[in-house]
Amino acid sequence: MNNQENSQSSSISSVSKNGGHNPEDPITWYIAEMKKRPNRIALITQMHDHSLALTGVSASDFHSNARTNINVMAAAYAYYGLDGGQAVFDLYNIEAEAMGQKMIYSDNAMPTIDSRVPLINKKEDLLKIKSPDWINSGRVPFALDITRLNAPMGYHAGAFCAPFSLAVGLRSYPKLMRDMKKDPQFTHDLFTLLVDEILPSYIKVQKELCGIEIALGADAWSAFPNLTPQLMEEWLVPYYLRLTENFNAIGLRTRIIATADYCEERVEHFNSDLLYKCLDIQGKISGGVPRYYLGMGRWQDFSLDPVVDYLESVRKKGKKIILSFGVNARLMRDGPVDAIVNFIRRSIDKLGRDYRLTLILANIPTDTPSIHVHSALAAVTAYGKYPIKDDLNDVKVEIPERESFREYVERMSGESLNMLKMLKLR
Amino acid sequence: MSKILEELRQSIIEGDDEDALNFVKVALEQGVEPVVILNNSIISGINEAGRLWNENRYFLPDVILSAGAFRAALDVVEPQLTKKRNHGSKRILLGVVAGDMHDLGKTIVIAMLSGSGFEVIDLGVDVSLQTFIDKTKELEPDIIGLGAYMTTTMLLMKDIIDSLVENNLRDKVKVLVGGVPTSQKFADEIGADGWGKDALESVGKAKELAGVK
Repeated sequence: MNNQENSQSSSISSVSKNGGHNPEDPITWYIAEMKKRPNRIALITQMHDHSLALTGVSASDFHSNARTNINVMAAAYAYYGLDGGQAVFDLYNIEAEAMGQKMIYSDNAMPTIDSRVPLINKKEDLLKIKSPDWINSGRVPFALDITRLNAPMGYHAGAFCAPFSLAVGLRSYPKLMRDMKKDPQFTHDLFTLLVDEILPSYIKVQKELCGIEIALGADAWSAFPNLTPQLMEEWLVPYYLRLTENFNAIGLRTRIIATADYCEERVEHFNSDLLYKCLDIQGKISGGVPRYYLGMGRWQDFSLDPVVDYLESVRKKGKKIILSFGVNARLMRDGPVDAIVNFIRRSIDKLGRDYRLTLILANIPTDTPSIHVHSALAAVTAYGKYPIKDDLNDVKVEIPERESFREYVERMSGESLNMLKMLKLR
Repeated sequence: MSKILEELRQSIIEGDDEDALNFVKVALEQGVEPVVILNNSIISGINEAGRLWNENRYFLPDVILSAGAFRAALDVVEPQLTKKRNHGSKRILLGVVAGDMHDLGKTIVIAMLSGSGFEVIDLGVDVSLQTFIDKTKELEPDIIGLGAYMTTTMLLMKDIIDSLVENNLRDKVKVLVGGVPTSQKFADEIGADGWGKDALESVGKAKELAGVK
């Protein structure tokens, strides 16, 4: 990080202590907004694509310049008032790119792995794979800068791509599926390398250089139906437990997001047995208090009763439950507002009282109307206010009339030309 | 059906590309007509995999392996077919839009569409708008299939449809869109003719658009 960034970081704490905000620093806008937050169910999100679209910043700048990234993300989080503010990048690709995987860059989308030429194209390529220079390779410097810059927003987590998703990135999904079936030993060798060497060495650097307290993994590739519960049991459970032990040895806790998420797309194929098996897998790898993640599925079209049935069966064993539950991306984009609000009411009514619930807007699509996000927060604020009322039908949701993102930036920045130019709004 | 044709069919259903490759070579050596191999084993096999998927007995790992075995067998037989297998077959041009490399869905869609008698031309991934336009002019497909798997890249689908209009091609071709972040509402908004929420449904929509039963 350069000196300018260091001085900006130190100014943050002094400004936030005063309870105001620095017009030139969106992180302080976010901190100021969070001070107004009522006591309610948490609403977190993944919205790097959407945040980018609110501004005129190019994807290439956003995904390579940590200061740009965090200013865009912090301004968007502040505008919406969502929890868990953090800069986010294409974290599925960082390790693979640093190891030598070819990427495709474009001005309108995040960098993406060129799956036509996987790094481990032939099996013998595995022998060439080793931990790269985790300080200078690829966009690791960018990722490390972001990890440091997230700290003022209260986020002291390192990021990594979970073993299965990383294996897909390095090998390609079709080849990995074939390996699992036809050459399990090769697949074990690959997973062992990732779990015992590659990922611990990367996360260790993040701890040493950024002072992280927890390692957060992303694992959307491992969701059902990309993997069946049988494959999850065989390939995820043992290696994810081992990775957790390896990170423990470094002095870090581990959370992996989206592993074994149940994402059936076809309404007529919803299958509660498969759902339960996915939740079983999640329980096995979460350790201690069971943590469940149902973040990406189209729950707006499914009954929530099977989820409640499963969680109750766990609760009856005397266990507390932590649940992250998602508002589907298509629902967020397509709306309408009433459907979003009703889904959130239904979710909180079924899941909000008896479990430690966090709602997730698990990826707000690029062109989602801002009113949909404002409405989601308004619904969570009304229905999810602690203590949650017995009858949510009596609760009214006021959809706020909000200024546009540009107007918000103009107001918070005092019409700072620097800030408007930085966000490419002028 | 002869033993070798049944073995080939079974290898595609089970997603074993090595067996499929071996069996198709043996079938040709035994003098089985390529068109018989195609229809009785290769297409029949991939259609059975699709049926099992539709019944929730097969999942994505199974289907992607079946698609791989299908491709392995088809690559051997296709050059030996003297003519296009069906003069009445509809032509569909498929590609993943620029900036997007996710082709898992496309791989399955291609296998299923081929199994349903379409002539499928795969433009690949990261396909530019201009390539879609140029190939549409050159190959005169009945349908263009656009795939996108990120909410950033899916927005390019509208640009492609707009460009088809500007090039006076829109009335000559149907546009089918698909991919994880897309929806029927999105398809309607951008002026597409159809949306496939998954590979099997895409085949059904393609048949509808092409007027094929």
